[in-house]
Amino acid sequence: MAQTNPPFMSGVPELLILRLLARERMYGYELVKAIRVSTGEAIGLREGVVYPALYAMEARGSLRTRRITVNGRDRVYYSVTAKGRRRLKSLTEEWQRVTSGISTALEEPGRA
Amino acid sequence: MPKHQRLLRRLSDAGIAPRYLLRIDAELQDHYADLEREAFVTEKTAAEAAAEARLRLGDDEEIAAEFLAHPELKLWIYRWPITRFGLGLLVGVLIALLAPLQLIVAKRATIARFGLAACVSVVLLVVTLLGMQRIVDLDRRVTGARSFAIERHESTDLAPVRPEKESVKNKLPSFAQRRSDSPAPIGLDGTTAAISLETFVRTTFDVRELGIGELNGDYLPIVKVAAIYPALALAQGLEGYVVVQFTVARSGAVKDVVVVESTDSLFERAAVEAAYKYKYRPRVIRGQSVEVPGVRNRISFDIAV
Repeated sequence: MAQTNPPFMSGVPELLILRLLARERMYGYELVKAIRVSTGEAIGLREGVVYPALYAMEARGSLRTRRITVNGRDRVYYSVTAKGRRRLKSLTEEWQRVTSGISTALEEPGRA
Repeated sequence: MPKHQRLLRRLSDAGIAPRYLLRIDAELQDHYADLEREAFVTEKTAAEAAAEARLRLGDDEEIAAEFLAHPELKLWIYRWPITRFGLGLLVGVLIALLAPLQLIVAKRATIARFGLAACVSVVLLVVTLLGMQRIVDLDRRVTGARSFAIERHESTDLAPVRPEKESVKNKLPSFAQRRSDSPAPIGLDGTTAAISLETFVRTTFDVRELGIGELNGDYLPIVKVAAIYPALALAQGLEGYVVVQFTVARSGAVKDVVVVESTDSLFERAAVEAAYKYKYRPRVIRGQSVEVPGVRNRISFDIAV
């Protein structure tokens, strides 16, 4: 597994979280597991730090929460709002622009 | 299951909004339980599962740092501290300006009376708060002096001062008499090899009944366990002492015990092990317990004849 929370990856957790929650609502543990699985273990998080990120996104209006009882256990489920979907679209476009630029730079020969 | 009291306190002090504090502890505990269950499925023992869950969840410091990196989670008054001052100033200016202005425009005596009463109230409040602060300062000076008088045989000076043996027999004769009923340890040859009365009494000294104030108070020993006389030293008839230095933690437990001076290395291990078992009432400053480093104790090993 790659380095946990490498410094150049700031902003990536928000993109991943929005992408996964846009598909289906999840609670914290489920979300962290989904991040690991969907990235093929390429990105690992200290699992507790996902909560401040979720709360911050909720404070900014990208996520909403709902307390649901499943099998007798109360869970806080997170889902994406309309504002969150717009944010996801903008982050995705930004990411594609950045990765496209990096790929171009890496393909150029003789410029180490 | 881990509790996150330290994390919650840290976040609360930093101004994180209470609605997040209420949720974070519950969500972290649920997450921890899920991680433990996941570890159990892979046939780990309970201890291994707990350790893995703690490792994967991350420690309180990491989680707190992530919280503090998001200022939008703080109360507005912590995000913009200048507003606290600005708001107070605005209210003060409004009262100061509007009250006489109203009086001039409407010529109402009641407004003047209201303004005067408000000014008098503010002055009385400030005087009361200053007076209370003075009382707290005085109390701190008094309780500090009293604590020093009781525990004179302990020193927090880091300079190599030889602490004096202090006889506590005259201070609490009835207490010493009660404690002397306990049996002394038996030596290898069957004779009674008692630790000296001084050390024996000191090791079971209880000062809770002395009634030191709760808001501020110096550290005080509650329990001091007697050191076990090393069998080899006893067999050789060796006597001596060890001076240990340690830190009294915020919980009242002892940590970081080191030997400063000893007459023979045979006594050192027993002295260190006994020191780790000491229990203190921690030093309290403004209602918060604090660590006290550099506390020294002299533990004597004397064979009674």
